Amino acid sequence: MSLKLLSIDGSVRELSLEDMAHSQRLDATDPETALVAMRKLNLHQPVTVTLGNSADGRSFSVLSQVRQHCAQQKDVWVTGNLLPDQITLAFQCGATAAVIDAENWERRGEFGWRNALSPATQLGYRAQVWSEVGSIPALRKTG
Amino acid sequence: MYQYDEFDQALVDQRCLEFRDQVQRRLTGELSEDEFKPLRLMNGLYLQLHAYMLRVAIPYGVLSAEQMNKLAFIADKYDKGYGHFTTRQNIQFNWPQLAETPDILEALASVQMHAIQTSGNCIRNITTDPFAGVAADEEVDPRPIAEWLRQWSTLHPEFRYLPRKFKFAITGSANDRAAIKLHDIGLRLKRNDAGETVVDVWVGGGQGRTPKIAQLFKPAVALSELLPYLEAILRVYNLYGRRDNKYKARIKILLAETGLEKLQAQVEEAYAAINRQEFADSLADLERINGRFIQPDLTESGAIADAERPVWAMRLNALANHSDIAPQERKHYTEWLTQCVREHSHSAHASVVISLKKHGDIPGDMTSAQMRGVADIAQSYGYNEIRVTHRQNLVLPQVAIHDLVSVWRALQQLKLAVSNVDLPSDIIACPGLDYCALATARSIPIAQDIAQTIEKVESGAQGMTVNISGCINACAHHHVASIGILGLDRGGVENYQITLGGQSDQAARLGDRMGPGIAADEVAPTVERIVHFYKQERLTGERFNETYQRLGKAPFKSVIYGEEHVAKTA
Repeated sequence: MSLKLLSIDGSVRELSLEDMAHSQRLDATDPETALVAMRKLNLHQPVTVTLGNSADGRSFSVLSQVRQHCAQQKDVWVTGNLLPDQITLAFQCGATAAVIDAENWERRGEFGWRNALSPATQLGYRAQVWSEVGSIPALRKTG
Repeated sequence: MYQYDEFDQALVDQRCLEFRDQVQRRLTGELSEDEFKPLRLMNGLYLQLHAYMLRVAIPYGVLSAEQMNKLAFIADKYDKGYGHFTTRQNIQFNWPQLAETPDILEALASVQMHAIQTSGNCIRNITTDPFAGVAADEEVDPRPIAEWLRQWSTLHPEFRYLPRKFKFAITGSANDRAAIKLHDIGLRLKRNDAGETVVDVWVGGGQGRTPKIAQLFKPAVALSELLPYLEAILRVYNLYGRRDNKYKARIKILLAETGLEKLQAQVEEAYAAINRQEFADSLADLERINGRFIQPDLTESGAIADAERPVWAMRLNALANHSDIAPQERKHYTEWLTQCVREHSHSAHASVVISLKKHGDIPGDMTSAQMRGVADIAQSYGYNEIRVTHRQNLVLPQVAIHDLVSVWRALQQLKLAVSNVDLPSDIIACPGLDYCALATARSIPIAQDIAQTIEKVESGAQGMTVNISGCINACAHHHVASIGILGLDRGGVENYQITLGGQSDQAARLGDRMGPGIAADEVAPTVERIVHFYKQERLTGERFNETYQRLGKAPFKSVIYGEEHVAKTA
């Protein structure tokens, strides 16, 4: 299965299953188990969080806590049946890249995915606690 | 009122572009209806019984004259010439075309308005006291805190897809006019002994099919801790609120199933884990927001020192004898002063409530001509400001005492000088079967029928509320009315259950169900009999709920069902 890795800086690259094998996995659709497993993560290795369907907001609370727990880990990826509108939220909650399967990538088109990362769609009032490791600017205005 | 800065404006402008793109993707079929639904709901767009409905946010119920004029423009250009003010202090347009909704959002953005988070399972419009900032009994002005929370909750990435909708209400007065105990989170602002603002946090109130009064969750939270504490509550709710049954998904159910102490402990644990660095600037943000509230310069002319201020009733009496009022007008003007004019913290001013409940009209509806007329009055006499109340009325929060006669005459021209505020015909009604896809019975025609029936008998029944919901979701707050009416479908026939004794203020209480439902055509005469009975039985100065509590259910059941029926079923 062909996979794309869309990073928060807008870059896209092919991803192999081997790459995925190096990443620790957490399933946000089972928050209680995911949050217990989070405490056992190797903080020096990448993490991939599987998000639930687009209306299951538990994923974003899990992701926020994973980001806080893994504050020094650059690579926090998300995967699952993603929508462009949803990965915007995932990035705002701390993800640094999204793993997208080929069928989903084709369905939305490269423009659709990249558009989700435009600076305009990132506007919001909440600050980014992880901005020192991510490349997206802090969102909240100051002064 | 709050003035947008460049960031606020950029955010709503960007939101318009994003929604235009989403609508386009839906129209071309790129997005399925299932995929589009959560996106449109996040922008206030519902699919109702006959058409789309757009709910526009009026943050904490505050509108400028310019914004009201824009709503009139939208009503004319994109709807059928009217709008409907809601119990969440918002406005709804019932007939927009999907393809035109991005244009409506752009029109709104041009006057610092939007429809963000007026629907969907997210934090909804934050409501407050319609007399905020002007009430004579206010301890803390809740509007800057409401704006602070609006900004915190707007597009909050973690809380966009909660188990269910989530509602906040805030009051800064001991007399709760914001119904804080009927919200998912209710905030009571007060001053501590050091004069600092602190916040009592109430959790788990709500109506719907399982009505609950909120419980005091944490008293006296410092402002510096408020946002992280609320974030902790929302995080626990987001993670553990039920998602298997939408009727059990509100935080009131999580509270009931988990228990107060355990849920408090879970929240404390989440609160301890919150990264405070995220909130390091929160008080500076509040300060910035405070600085963007433009307060009108109330002139001191005619102001009376507090120590010399006569009681409000005496002042009203003096005002009624205004030399510009002809003898034949005096009765109507006096009634209007008594029912619609409220004491202001500044003695040379008053607040004017505009009833949208003319007997026989649709509660909460307003024509575009009336919107423009009220905007003109606000510009001429009201420092440019209008409020929306949760009882579906409007308020001109500050009118100079010497302008009251002119305001009354202008409202008469608009057919809005209706003297029934806080009387039984000041009815809250949901759209019911006339518009709503969830309704099981009509609300609007029943409300119209009741208002016309009781017009002649309601005088003096001050504070007696009548609320009508067209289904068990209780959008019209029937659980907390003096007389609550719930429309149901019984085998294809509309049937209306009556509850008595509810109230939504600081002594919030759910009404008691009286017995079997009654037919649609019996509702208005039944309400009329209850009003009669109350007026006949009350002691001097006694409000309806006090009379009801003193006498108990039994005599009221006899009034509703007849003594013979009650005896038979006893």
